[in-house]
Amino acid sequence: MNRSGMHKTRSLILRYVVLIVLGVIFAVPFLWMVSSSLKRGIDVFVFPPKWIPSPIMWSNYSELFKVLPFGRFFWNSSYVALLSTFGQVASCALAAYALSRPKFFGREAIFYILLATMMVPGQVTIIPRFLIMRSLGWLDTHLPLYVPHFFGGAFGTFMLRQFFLSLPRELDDAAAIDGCGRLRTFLTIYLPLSKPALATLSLFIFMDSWNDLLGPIIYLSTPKKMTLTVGLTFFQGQYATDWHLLMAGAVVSIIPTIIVYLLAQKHFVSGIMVGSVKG
Amino acid sequence: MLRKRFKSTIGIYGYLVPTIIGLILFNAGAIVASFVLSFYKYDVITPAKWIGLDNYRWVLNSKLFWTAVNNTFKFAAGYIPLSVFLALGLAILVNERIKGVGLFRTIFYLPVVTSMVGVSMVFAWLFNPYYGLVNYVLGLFKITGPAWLSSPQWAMPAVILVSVWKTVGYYMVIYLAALQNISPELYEAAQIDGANRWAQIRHITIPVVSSTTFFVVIMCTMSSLKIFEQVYVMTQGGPANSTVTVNLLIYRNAFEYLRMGRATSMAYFLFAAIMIVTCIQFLGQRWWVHYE
Amino acid sequence: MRRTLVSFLVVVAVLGFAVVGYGQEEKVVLKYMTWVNALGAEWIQEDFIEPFQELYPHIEIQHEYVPFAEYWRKLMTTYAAGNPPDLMHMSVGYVYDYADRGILLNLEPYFTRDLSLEEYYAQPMKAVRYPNMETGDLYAMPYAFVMSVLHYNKDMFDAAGVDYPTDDWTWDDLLAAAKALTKDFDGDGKIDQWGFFFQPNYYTLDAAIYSFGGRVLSEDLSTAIFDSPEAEAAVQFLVDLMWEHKVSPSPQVYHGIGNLFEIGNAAMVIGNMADLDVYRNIDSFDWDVAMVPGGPATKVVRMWPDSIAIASSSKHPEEAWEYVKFMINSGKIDRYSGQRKMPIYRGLAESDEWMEYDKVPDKSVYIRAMEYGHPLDFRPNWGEWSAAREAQLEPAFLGQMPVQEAIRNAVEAVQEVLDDN
Repeated sequence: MNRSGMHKTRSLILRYVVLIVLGVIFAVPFLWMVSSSLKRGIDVFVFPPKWIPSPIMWSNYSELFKVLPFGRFFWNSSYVALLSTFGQVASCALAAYALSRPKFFGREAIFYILLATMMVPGQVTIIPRFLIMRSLGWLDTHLPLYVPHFFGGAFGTFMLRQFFLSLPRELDDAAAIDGCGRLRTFLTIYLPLSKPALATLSLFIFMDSWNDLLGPIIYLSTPKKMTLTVGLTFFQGQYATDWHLLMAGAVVSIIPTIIVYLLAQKHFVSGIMVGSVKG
Repeated sequence: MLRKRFKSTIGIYGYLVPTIIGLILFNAGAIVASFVLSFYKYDVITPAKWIGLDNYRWVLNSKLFWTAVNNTFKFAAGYIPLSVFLALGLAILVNERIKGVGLFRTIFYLPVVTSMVGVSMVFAWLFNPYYGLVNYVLGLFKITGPAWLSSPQWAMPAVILVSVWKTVGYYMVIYLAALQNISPELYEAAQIDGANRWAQIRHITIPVVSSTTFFVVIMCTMSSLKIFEQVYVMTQGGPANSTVTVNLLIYRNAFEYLRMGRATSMAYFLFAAIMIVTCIQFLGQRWWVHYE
Repeated sequence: MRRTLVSFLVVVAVLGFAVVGYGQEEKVVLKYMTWVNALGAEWIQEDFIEPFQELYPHIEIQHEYVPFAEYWRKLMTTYAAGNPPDLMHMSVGYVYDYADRGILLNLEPYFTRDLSLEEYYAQPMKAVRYPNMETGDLYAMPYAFVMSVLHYNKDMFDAAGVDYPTDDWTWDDLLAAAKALTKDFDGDGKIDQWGFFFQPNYYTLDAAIYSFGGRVLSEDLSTAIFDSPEAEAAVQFLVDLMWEHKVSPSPQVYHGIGNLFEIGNAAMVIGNMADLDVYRNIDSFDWDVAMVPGGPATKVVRMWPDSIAIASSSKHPEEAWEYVKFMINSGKIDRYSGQRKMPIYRGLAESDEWMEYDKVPDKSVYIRAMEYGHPLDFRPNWGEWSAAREAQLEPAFLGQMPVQEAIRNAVEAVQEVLDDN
């Protein structure tokens, strides 16, 4: 093996060592969650801690599904999250494109106002926002949870704008020479090149919508309209701390977001191909 | 010419229609209303009473508020650099085309989707000074760990570490999307010039993703100044108020102490602070952010 | 006599109305808000709402429940929307503040009209009287209550040859026993078994201060006075358990690992009697319950109720009150409060079914404790000042500040909240 080969192997080993150390640090809390979710309530805090539960309480999971209509909750969460994701990605991409390169009157103002909406601490707009939804007659429906997503969002717009700005400027010029209209440039050049960013944004919005606790609790009152995340909080009592059930619930609730993550991740990888085609 | 420009402006506004409607319908009203409330004594339940600047005056004179401001900036000072640095580092590591990298990506992203309530208990246990895993591991290296969450001096660092653990996967993914878009030719050219891995990262990766770094910094700043959930579920502001943050005070005043008006005035102090910091960051970006 | 007659007539009238009016009368819908978990919601539905609706077919109860952490935010949005509930569960810490804002119905006239106080435990009901705990009116109706108690590990007492706690135990007796029960079995300098475990929360702290002869707030509730020598002695005593005698773990030791008593690492714990449900799952040791110890001045047992209130805005206060009465007088043990909380109705609490004479713990302790019962100072802005107090006293319990200094800071912080109205 030549020198550069040795060097390569050594750096590969180094990378794996770093990855494994960091990976273990990141995974430990999660492993403990899974382990607690399979324990009896009184065993959760026993020490010295036991990583392998005994007895293994698979029934914690079935207990979760016994008490609440989880199928219904799952459906509510899914359709709200999917609609939110679609609406927000579409509206943010449009806005981000407009706010990236084209120069026009009012561009800065709109961008900074949009940004400013992110700076207001949400706690104090809860009540006014709630009143707006009430005047629209949307209380106790799923509308307040996903309709606003069809009207843009500061985070997504900002994120996609930054991404669009990192694409080569020559793309616009080339498109203009080809006689491409603005809409066609957006649809046929910007969007395909932005797959990694769009996938990332979809992932985030899906996750935020899926994990949203405050929205459903405030806007909904009929129990069967609740989402899975809210349903899981129904395992926390005032005095009783059903930690083992809570842990089981937490494990169940993250599975859909992991699936969405794995789906989105494929698109990050396909981004390499797209990246190499351009030029 | 003028007509054409006008037409083009109208055209571009077409893209912004949903956003503008959203701003007006779902944001403007709520934000203005909450601002107006900051001049009232208002508990939501009984009619509001105009008290002028009293809420603002009270906030400025409250020791607890300034403790919270101090804590919030302490959090930001630790959280922002750690997050940005670690997120970029992880993204570079898991962007390599080596075996098993997908698994590591997933592990680093897992905390992001895990519920904070569940996480808080796990960390309370991990950080227990006598029986927790963290100090046990430190002990193996002959280090006596601090009391972490039960120590006024170490609770905030612990909260920062947990927050970084919880959110860094988020920023890692944003970086990953940006890294995927760097053309491999850039690296190939650098390799031919004999640049080693570190030089490539310094001279290619970091400048090329600088617009993403800018985005990540802005996001980290905003979320750290608004920090709430982590302290709400993990420390409730304790011990001895060492982790009380501005947003926690806002929440308590608004919904637990029936002082919505005062909460909104605190919120506008926080809003002003975030705005100032963000403006400085926008002004500063020309020195280090590299747009194509 | 007259009262019984009146209440009899009312019952006849209501029942008669229900029967006669059946079919033509408009249905009354009551919105009912609680904080419970999924199981609790099922119990409330099956043990209260359904049997109640069977009895009163013209009343429909719409139950909405949210987790406790979200309850107040949710409640406020219903007020903002102008659509508040008719019936709502009320935390005792908020009754004063909500009554003060005029949103709770004064239940005193209803109570005196339909019920007689002798049949209920009067002590815990003081906590929901407004404006004064002794002379004020009921602004919520307790349906069950809990008290602070001392749980002890019998196996550890037996092994150390220490006598079980008795009713007349003082804090000094507790300290002596805790010393004998604190063990470092393997001699590694790390304590393996703590004699006593407590957390310096509102009920332990308040009970100790009162039992040493101090008070938390002045009679008129306007001044923080727990900087008296008596109150300071109480706090000092508790701090010394951790740092001087080392018989009780400090916050640094117990933080994040749950209840040391439950996992078999402490011989005694002062806690809430509602922990019974958790402790009954313990199979690794025998335990029982005793009264909390008395101090040099007196013995004080903290009691606080779970209550239900009627909104003053309710259009159907009579129907809502029927539900409240049903809840406290249904005559059977519901699964919601169960065996772990004491029914406010004496007849039910003292029945064989609730007392469970054949089971652990010995619930007669609870009955004997009634005479020492004392409601907490759940008075104006309680949530705010009790948080301020705990935060300022914390450095003392962490062993980082002299007690006197911590108390001075705490009094100042509490006073700031009290003055701020």
